[in-house]
Amino acid sequence: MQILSFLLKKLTYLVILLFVVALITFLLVSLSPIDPIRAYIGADMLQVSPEQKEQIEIYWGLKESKPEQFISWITSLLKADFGTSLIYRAPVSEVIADKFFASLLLMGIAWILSLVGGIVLGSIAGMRQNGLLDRIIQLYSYVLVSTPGFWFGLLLLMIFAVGLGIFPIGLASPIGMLEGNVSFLDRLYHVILPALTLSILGTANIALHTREKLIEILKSPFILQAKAQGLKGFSLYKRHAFRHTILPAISLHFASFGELFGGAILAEQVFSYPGLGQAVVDAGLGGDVPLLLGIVIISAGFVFVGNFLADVLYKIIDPRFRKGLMKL
Amino acid sequence: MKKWIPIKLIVPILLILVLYIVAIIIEQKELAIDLNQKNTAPSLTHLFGTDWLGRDMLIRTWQGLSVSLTIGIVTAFCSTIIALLMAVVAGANKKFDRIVRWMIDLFLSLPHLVTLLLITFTLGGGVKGLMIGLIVTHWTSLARVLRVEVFQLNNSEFIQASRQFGKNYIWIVWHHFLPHLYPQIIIGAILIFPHAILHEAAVTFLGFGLSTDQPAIGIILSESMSYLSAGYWWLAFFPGLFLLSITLTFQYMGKQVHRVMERNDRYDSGVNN
Amino acid sequence: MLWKGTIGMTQGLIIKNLSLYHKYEKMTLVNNVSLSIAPSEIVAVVGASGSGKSLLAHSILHLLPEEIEQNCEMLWNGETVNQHNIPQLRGKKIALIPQTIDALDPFLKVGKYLLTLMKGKNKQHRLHKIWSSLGLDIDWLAYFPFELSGGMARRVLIASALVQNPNLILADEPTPGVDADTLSGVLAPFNQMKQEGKSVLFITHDFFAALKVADRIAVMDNGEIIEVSPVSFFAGDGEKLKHTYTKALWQALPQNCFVNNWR
Repeated sequence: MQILSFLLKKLTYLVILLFVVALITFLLVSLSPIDPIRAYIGADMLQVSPEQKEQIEIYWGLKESKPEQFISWITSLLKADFGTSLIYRAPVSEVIADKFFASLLLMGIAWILSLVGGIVLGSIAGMRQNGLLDRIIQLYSYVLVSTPGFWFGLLLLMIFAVGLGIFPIGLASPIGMLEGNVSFLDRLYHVILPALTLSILGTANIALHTREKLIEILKSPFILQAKAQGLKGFSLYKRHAFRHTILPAISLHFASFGELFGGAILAEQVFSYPGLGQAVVDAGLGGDVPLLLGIVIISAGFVFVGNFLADVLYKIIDPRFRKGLMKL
Repeated sequence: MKKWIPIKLIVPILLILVLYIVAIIIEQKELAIDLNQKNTAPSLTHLFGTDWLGRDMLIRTWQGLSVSLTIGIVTAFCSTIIALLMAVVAGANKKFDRIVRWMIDLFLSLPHLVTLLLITFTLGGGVKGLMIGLIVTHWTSLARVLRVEVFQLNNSEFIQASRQFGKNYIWIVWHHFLPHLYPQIIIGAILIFPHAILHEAAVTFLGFGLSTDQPAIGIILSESMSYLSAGYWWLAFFPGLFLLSITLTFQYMGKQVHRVMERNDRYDSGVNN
Repeated sequence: MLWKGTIGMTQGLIIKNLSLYHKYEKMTLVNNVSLSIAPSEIVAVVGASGSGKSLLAHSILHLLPEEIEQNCEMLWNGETVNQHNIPQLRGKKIALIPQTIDALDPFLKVGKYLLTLMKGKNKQHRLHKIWSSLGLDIDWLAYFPFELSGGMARRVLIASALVQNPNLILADEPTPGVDADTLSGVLAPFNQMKQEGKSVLFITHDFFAALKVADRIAVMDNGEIIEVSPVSFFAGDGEKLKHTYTKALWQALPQNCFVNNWR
């Protein structure tokens, strides 16, 4: 019962959130000086007669009043109809579904690798507080946090793809191959470098956070007692610190889906990886408003899911929540 | 009361100042195009190498830095003001607090870069669009910190006392909040800076920000993409490294300021006791 | 028998000139404390809160936070104890009964926690034996620490010290809020330990409980041990006691007040 009301609360929040995001995005776009038709047609604008322009306007519903446009857009959104992408000439939902898979593969690999790497580094640093290893790991993390992600991607591209020639320079699948013929291995081969970029960059934050948490946990009474029981070093960490440390780390990692998405946009651009990130850039540069709005809504949902999982995680793992002693 | 400022804080400040002043001086300088010298690797005459028009990459990068630093300063300043205003508004009453919390949640509900792209897109790009985008998206984390501080101050005894003496909220903000919040404000502003210039470079790199004829590190890096397979590594390597050293300097500065503030704080309370 | 804890003792624990100094606060917390505990002996350390008695247990295990500087000479069964060999003694030879249930990992069921501490064969069987000797229900092994009641928690904490079969048990305030009626039940496990040849350092502010269980009583005040006397000295008017503070403590006990008034 408690779980149900918790889920209901979250769901209501999501609905309101998506509505507000949609409203604001719509307002922003409609108040902008950009003429969607000019943005769409671009240089060919001179060849379009006023009559044709008017026809397009009617076709896109641009002649209606702004509130009417918004309502019709929102109602079609509810039917999962995001409109038609101008640059891909296909329904936005299809474009997004297609690109989302590629991005999800990239982000999923990066998410897991950076989580594991960050926890390992952070744990070593925390257990060796103020030691040489700790200093090295801290320096490494601080430098990575300040590094422009896309530049880091360019470096990896130069070293591994151009210099050593181990990896392809771009594209999620080999050129000239039909989408259906792309094997999973091919996809994996193309996703490695961008995923590696995101993973390495992602470890920094998790490592710093894990280190801080671990140091805090090592001061708690149950660790002192475990030491009094004769535990030390790795077995102390494994038995009593590990779970307490990874819980906040995983939670934080879920809560940073937004940064992951942002990183993916840049990585996809650098490595010409055709995912959602590249689509949002193309949509913006090409004035493809329906696609842009669609991706904005989807990314809001994506970030929400991350925050939701971060929130729920504690409640699943911490026995005090499971036993209902703490409120959901 | 003498406050203590360590050399570790003076060095990064001086470094940034010198870089910035030099950048402003050389900004107007038209770069010599020398087609005999195009795409040369780094050498003693051209430390960062040259580009496809034979322009010196060190000078180009440095010029780009001036734009980045200016944008960074303006963003840090304006975002800090917004963050402070939000925190003060939130402290006024419960209803405002809820609104501010909603605003923060709303901004955090989209990936930061997506929000930035959306705003720069709708404002038609360019310096103006980029700057507005950066300003309206960088206040959230500082606002969160300040909101909590204001909340705690609001519940403290001396402010309750001021209230009972009939002082109004503005008076309390001016005489109590600001003196207490200023360390957080300064550190927050310094830490906004590296974020802002990294985002500026990223958005420009993606083609949404500064226009291609402007000297900017994002432009230089996106240009370098076309020459990567030719092996012209210096086109990307040095400009990025330059940018990294700037952001690192600011991170370091933030850390040192934090340390100084803590120290002075301890010193103050030691004297008062 | 009376002075079995003297310098010539080879079995048990000897602490000589223990001093604890807080580096940041720049103050001495414990000054020149010497104490010995023989096998099959219960030594109570009594003192008001802030007298430094609680630091004693952690300083024996060398587990004080790094801001506290520790100076002492310590012998265990005749061998010097220091930072390097204490980890081998912790839990296995010298175990601690902590004050509160916070000392148990909140993520682990108590039974699982205790089993991981144990080594050798028949772990389950040995654990059940200790468990039931403390009057605990087998079902409670599956409880998380935060699910235990005050009385259960107290006994589980005792069990946690006993699972590794140590020779010396440091009990830090083991009888909080226990009233006189239930006291003998709570103290029974300590008498049992003594029977089995174990030594107990019984740290408490409850003078009454100390008198009931201990062989010798060390009185701590202001970071110093002002008196160590066998429990038999605490009789009559307290004329055998050396220190006025100890006498005052003794005379302040309810039953003695009655005696005094009656006279």
